[in-house]
Amino acid sequence: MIAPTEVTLNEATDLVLGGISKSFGDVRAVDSVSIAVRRGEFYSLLGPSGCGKTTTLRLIAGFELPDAGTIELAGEDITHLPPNKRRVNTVFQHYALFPHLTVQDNVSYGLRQERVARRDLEERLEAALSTVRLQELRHRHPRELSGGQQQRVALARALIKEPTVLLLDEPLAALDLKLRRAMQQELKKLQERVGITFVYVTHDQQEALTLSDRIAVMNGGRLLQEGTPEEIYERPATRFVADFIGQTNFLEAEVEVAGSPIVVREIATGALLRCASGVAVRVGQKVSVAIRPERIQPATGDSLPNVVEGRLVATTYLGDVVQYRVMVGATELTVQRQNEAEDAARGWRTGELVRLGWDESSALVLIDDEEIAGEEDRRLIDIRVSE
Amino acid sequence: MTERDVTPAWARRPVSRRGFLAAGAAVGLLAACGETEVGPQATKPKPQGSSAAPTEIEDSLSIYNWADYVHPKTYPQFEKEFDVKITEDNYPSNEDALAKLKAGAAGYDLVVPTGYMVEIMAAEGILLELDHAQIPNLSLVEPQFLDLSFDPGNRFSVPKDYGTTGYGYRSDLVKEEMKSWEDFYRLAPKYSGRYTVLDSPPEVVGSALKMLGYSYNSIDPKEISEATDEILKLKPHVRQITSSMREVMISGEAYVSLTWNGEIGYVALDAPKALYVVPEEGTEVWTDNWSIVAGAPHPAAAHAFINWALQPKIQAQDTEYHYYGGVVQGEEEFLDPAIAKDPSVYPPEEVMSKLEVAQANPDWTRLRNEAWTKFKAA
Amino acid sequence: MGEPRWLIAPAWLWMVTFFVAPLGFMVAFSLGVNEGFFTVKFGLHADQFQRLWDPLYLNIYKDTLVLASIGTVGCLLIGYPFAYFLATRTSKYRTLLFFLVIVPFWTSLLIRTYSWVLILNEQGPLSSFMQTVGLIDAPLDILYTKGAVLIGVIYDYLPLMVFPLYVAIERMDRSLIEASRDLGCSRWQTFRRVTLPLTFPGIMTGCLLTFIPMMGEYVVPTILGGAKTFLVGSLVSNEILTAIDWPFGAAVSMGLIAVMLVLIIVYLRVLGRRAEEGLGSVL
Repeated sequence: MIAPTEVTLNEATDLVLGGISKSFGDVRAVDSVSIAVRRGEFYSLLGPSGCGKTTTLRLIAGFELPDAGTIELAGEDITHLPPNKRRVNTVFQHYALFPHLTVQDNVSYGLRQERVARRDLEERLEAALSTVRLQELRHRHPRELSGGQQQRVALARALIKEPTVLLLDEPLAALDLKLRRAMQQELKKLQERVGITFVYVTHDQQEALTLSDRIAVMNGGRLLQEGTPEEIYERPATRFVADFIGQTNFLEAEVEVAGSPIVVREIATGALLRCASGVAVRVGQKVSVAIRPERIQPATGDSLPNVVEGRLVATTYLGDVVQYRVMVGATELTVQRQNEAEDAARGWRTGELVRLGWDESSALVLIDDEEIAGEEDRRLIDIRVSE
Repeated sequence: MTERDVTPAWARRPVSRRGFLAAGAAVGLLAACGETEVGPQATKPKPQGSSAAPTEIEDSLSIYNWADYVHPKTYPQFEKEFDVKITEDNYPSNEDALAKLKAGAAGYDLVVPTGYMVEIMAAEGILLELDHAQIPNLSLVEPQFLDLSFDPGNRFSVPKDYGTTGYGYRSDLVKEEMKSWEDFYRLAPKYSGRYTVLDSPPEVVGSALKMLGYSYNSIDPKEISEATDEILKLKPHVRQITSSMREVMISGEAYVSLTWNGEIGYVALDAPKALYVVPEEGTEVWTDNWSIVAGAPHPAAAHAFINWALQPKIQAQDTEYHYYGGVVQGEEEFLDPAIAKDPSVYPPEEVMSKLEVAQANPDWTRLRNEAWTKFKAA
Repeated sequence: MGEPRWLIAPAWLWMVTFFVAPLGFMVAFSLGVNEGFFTVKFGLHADQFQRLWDPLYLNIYKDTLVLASIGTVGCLLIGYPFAYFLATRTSKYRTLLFFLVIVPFWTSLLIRTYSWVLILNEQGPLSSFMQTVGLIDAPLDILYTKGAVLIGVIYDYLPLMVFPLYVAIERMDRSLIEASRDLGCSRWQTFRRVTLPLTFPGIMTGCLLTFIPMMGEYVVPTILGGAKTFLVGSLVSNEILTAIDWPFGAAVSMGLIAVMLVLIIVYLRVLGRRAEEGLGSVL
């Protein structure tokens, strides 16, 4: 199966979504999504805008109620609880800081109605402020803070509630690139220090790969793949995942041998390609073969199991790497090589025929999304992707 | 009374003569009274109609009048006969007209002040002295309406019609027979919330003065103070302070209304049990008058209109419309006999002798307004 | 330096013609004494203000303040939920609802007020409906009472309350409400701690915009109050048009202006810089 619908309960789980769905009018924003987030995990929901990741987060927070499915938090069914009765807290995309309150009143906001003893409240406020290093700015108002500082206030305000799960909705999206990189590291360290489970929504695959323990890739309201960053990158389960995470070449092919390795025939050139096994296919099935650009090499001898011939269309120097675009039949392959003097590709000239090759393990057989989703939902996916 | 128009009252004349809104065009009220032929040959005693008019008059005339105060046919008849275009604006009270004219409202030829207001307006210099040579029909006016204290020698005014300030009551809703101001005040607690009074200080304060046996025109602070106490006692029982009481009297929401006789004459069309009372203690009799505004752009047309309007048939026509008595001799010949004999329109001599004419002066006005403020604020 | 001064002359002319001069006339009249119809002796007489100090007139001011205060609170209590509803609808319904708020403004105030006479009449539709339903067992007796006046002023000035509130609520970031709920607050706590303080300038502006015209109201008490509810506006009208006592009428108006000035100063003090924002959003 592509989407793991079964929920593993053998490890300590903090948050379990069981087949939740949510529609807005005719649009299925979230379509039977099931995930299980482990205790202390940094879990990311990754996908393009409109894929349903934010709606999923809002369902967990309680801002929306699911049409179907259940949500469990630390073993308790919270599906129908209002937001204020759930032990989850949210860091909003644009922080949603209260403009009429100072930093410290923002941070302690969630404790005021909790009948926390005054001394306890002071202590927790101090701790939260120092966690995000905002002691000096406690009397400022949000409008007097930089973006990064506002972001930290939002974090402290949520963390002071000691939630079971912290929800983060693209918390770094509003920051510039440099600050974003710095804050990523800070977030990661913070999460390790406080040990709270994070559910993190992002459309930035690099961010998800860097921060997450596990990633759930979503598109068109569906969960496409769940796994560690390495699993997602190295073994994308669908063409969409492969395309969305990093850069990938696709070759259209038909299964010839459904064994180990899987052998497919590339449709345009008729070349036989040996691919990594592990996907259930049947002979004659139409599939895509995904090969990462950095896994393609100039084929100089017979050392590689897969070799194709094509014409070099363009060469782009990107500093430490060089990108070549090669037309193989009707398909353009991108090849990415380290910029090294002795690399065989350095001798290629635009317009000449070149030979490309790759390992069997570098070629992944992917069942087309169409076949997973079926006709009706394909349209939905198209719509989503085009957004 | 002869057969009457069955159009609902509100559709005909929604607002009283002294109401707040200028009423829209009223439809003919006298549908069944026969076509009152109006023409020079039909008049007697010999009036001097168009023949007496100066050879040259202006081609338009601007009248500043109470709302709904002439028969709808009256202006068109004059317009046709004299080839003059008439326009009319309305005001809700004498004081309002005074304030507007004093503040410089220009372009009006004729205005219709009540007696005491003629005196004030004349003193303020906003009225033109009349040229009696152009108003030969003045000789038709009954002597009792001429040369009154507010305008000796009728230098500034010619009477239009006259009426009394009393009260009307629905004899089908009030069990007692009402005859006096004393009845009016005494029965208020019993019919609490069913009284209306005019939105005008002199009439209301004057009613209490008359009940107490004082002059309608008293300026004795002690007497005014006693009268004030009486009207303050009346206040909780008043439903509405308004000069537009016709509708609520007809519907029966109000049983008793302090108002002018013509208003009850109108109410009686739809509520035949509505009776008008000229209180036994006496009350105010007033005349409304035609006056020409100083600086009038069309003085000749204004004189011609005044003269023309004094014809008995025109007077009768208007009386049948507004139920206020006309002031010229021979009017009754043209009148519906029921109206001609109606004592609320034409009080008999012994009643008339007990009535007083308002005589305004600054103290008179100030005392009444102070009492009025107390009454309204209570 | 700068632009030549004559450039602002039209603005000055306008101010002087329409504000300074009329106010000047009023001050002059209020310091005069009435010596007969339209005969005013000008000078520096305190007579009118001494007369104003009489409990009779002070009570009229008090009655007016009470009525305008209750009316304003009524507008707020009805207007706030309405504005909130309006501001949180999708744009399609919002346009329609806004239209419905504005349409009565195209009708004359007089006609809108008179229409309430028909509704509140003891033989009117509301009365018969309430009797049919069994809410009351005698005809509704509210027309020509203070209650009817309140209904009238609240109805007439409600839009002036709704607009600034709508602007304030609409401008508020919706995610703040979610943030508050997320941090453990109930709906009511969220309203009290977030929505209310953030829309406070709108509330103040709405109250000012409704309170001021209510203080000068005289049409509604005349029509719906049967002229029995006597407010400062009615007093001014009476003094000017009926009593023809312009000095005293001017003094009564000056008193009203003084009350308003105090209120506007309080408004500016409380809101500070946000006041401009609040009024600017509506005007």
